[in-house]
Amino acid sequence: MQLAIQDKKARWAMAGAIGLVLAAGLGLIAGLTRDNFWLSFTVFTVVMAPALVALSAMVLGEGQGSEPAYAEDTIETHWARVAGLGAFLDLVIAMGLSVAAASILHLPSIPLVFFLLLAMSDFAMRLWRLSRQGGQ
Amino acid sequence: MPLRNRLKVLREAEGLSQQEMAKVLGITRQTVISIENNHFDPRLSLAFRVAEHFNVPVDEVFYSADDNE
Repeated sequence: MQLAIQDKKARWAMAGAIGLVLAAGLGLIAGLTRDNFWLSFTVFTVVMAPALVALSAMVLGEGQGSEPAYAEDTIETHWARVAGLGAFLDLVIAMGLSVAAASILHLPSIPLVFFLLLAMSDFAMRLWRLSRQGGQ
Repeated sequence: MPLRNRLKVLREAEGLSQQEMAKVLGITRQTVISIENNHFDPRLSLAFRVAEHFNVPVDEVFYSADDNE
């Protein structure tokens, strides 16, 4: 399926439009399932818009052609693998410890979003550290 | 076993920049830099592409640090 738009300005204009429509759609769903429609609609639309505009731009061809022919052989891919593995192991340990602590101490469970943020920030920091070191 | 290589010597003998070398091999410039600085051991497929490009055996490009040069 070929969706790429060659002209950069046209690509971003289209991505902006698609991204905002998608974000507004999600905002609408979020608003309809909550008590305060306009507050929920506005928050979800504003928060989701940047990610959906960027995702639309990627689908429309942004960044294509700049990747190397053998991306799997690059050190950047190696860093991503190492960082991903490290972050996953940290996540398993953190979840295991928190479940054990919550069970033993009879505490409420930690919200899942905490672990999501932990994994994402852990991965980002590991990737940053590896790229700063420049090696494996 | 630490691996060493002669990528920089071979590249410079051919008059290629790191960016040009990266493009020829289908990788990034950072990868070329890391290999030349012995910070990154390439996968076998990349090692063979390097050797093929310079038309030399793989062990003339990549060798053990324990070996005498």
